[in-house]
Amino acid sequence: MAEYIKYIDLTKCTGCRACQVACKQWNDLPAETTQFTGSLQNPGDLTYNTWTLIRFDELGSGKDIKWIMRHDACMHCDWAACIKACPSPGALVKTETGAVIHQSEFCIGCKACIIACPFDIPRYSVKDDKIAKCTLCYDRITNGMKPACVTSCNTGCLDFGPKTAMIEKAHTRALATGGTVYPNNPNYETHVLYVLPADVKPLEISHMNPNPKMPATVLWWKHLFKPFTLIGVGGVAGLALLHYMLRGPHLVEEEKKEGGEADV
Amino acid sequence: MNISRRGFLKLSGGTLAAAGIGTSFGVKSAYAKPLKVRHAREVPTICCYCGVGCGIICHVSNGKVINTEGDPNHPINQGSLCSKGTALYQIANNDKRLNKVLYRAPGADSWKEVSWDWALDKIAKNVKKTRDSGFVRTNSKGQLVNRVENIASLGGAALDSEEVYSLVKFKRALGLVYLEHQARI
Amino acid sequence: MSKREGMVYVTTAEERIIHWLLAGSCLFALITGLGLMFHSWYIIPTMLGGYYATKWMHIFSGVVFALSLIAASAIWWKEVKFVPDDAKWIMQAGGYLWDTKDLPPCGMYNAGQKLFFWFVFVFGIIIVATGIIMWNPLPYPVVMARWAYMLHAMSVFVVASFFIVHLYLGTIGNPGTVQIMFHGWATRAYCTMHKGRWLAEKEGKTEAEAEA
Repeated sequence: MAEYIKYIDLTKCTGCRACQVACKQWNDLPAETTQFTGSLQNPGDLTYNTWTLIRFDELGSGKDIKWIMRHDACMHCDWAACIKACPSPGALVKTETGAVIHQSEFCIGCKACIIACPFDIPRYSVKDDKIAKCTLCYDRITNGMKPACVTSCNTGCLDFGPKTAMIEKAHTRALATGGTVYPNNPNYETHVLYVLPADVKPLEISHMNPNPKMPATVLWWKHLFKPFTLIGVGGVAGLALLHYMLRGPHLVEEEKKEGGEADV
Repeated sequence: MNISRRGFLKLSGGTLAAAGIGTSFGVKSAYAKPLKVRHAREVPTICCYCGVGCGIICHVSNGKVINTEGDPNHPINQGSLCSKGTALYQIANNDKRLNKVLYRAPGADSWKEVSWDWALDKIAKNVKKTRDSGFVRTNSKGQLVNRVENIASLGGAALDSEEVYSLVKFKRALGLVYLEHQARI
Repeated sequence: MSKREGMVYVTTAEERIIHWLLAGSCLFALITGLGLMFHSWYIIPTMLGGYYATKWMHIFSGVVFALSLIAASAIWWKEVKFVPDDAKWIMQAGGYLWDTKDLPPCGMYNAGQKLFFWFVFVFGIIIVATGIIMWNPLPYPVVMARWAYMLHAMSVFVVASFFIVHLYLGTIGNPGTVQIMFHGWATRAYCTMHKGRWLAEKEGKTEAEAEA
């Protein structure tokens, strides 16, 4: 199956939150009691039952005010830190479509993915002792449908399609508007692409990682100390065996005399 | 929409084996979650909320609405919906909707459950009382007008043409002149 | 504690119980931890009743490890202080790697054992502290939590390696040692060789007590 990309054009988002509702509705996520924070953003953050959220930013001041409505959800990284950190096989899986999905029946609620994620996406539920996040509607896209959020979007802000087509679309759009493509990092490919407005930088947008990459500590943990533990334990055990063969047990003097054969 | 069923094959068993050593990062098999609308009948409908009239597909299984989403073939919305229309599903499935009539008497601080008959009678009585008190037979010039000036009617977008027709007939019969509809607001 | 002919009573019952709590919880946490770290070792979580059960076993053995680490440092605090002779012992690697002549007599523990204690103590504290963070990392700053995961793995590498050395030297590497941790008795000759200074002090004291 081909790899897909979700395209998000922030110049076109009106913040209607149809994607947010569609996500909840398709994934059967229950409603939550939220609090008014003075912002359009509601609920205040992604939660276990809110897998996508329109984040609202008011940039600038006076007459120079800019509104940024951002569809925030899992970025579906190619080289996903959450999968690397996950101890339970199958709980987080990179699928052939490019989507990173969580399978709740395998999740053990260790919360390692939440810490490893460079975009701060997975959310934990104390009640279920599991995590949840956007799955790029894996069940829909493997059946020829678009993700629920993309289906509902009515301004053309969200689009979904084959990887190459969407990358081309994003760069064409960025060229036309003078904006930038995010994350435009050949070393850290994601299956979600943003087109940012011309005068807005990722750093200005709340909760947007300006330089997304695999956290170095996760790499040291999984690529250095993880094999080191085996090399350490196995190596030391091997050396101990070698020591036993070459120098023998450290016998007590008295026993040596009685045994007579150990020390020749 | 033609939903393929090829994707439903459960790639079971292989998941654990394919998980392999922790450092490997190949594509791993996932349990294909069955599409929840795979056995559902598709019923097209029109969104009941505003005057735009977006097309919506209701997925119906065993007489129950199990999903609603924008109709991609509808010329108005081409599959998209607003946040309110996206939540149309909750008209059919929502345990927080009222299914009994609640009445709060003037000055009371709490709601009490009443029957439909009582509520309809109460509304009819109040309409009659208000109409009788505000009925104008002649205007200032002495011309016969037969109108009611203390009741206004606001039609909702959820009303279809036939409902609006009969409502207007009924309200004209009462003598109402202030008729308005959500589509004009 | 009845007397045994030609034997010296080396460890108290508390010491042995705490030692085995520490060793058992450490080993069990290591096994469950390896099962969680290496997906290819799914046989470990499978045998223990699944990954979810393994996670809780890992956490609970960690709690036991933390408590027994506190108890262990409380009872061995005085005996693991380094003395000048320890430098000599370390320079000669305790006579384990090459033949040496003038090995100074050791106290209750030789310098290697003291080193092992301090490694377990320092890295054990790191493991416990990072483990507490990893139990629920959400309230902590994300950078701190990420470091915790890495330091946890790093400390396990250190402790697990030393654990094997300890296991070898405590059993087949030094015949007569392992029984000290089971019933507490060692032969007089063993004590003269491994714990000369401690034996002399103990006997001296006993004689002094006898005289008094």
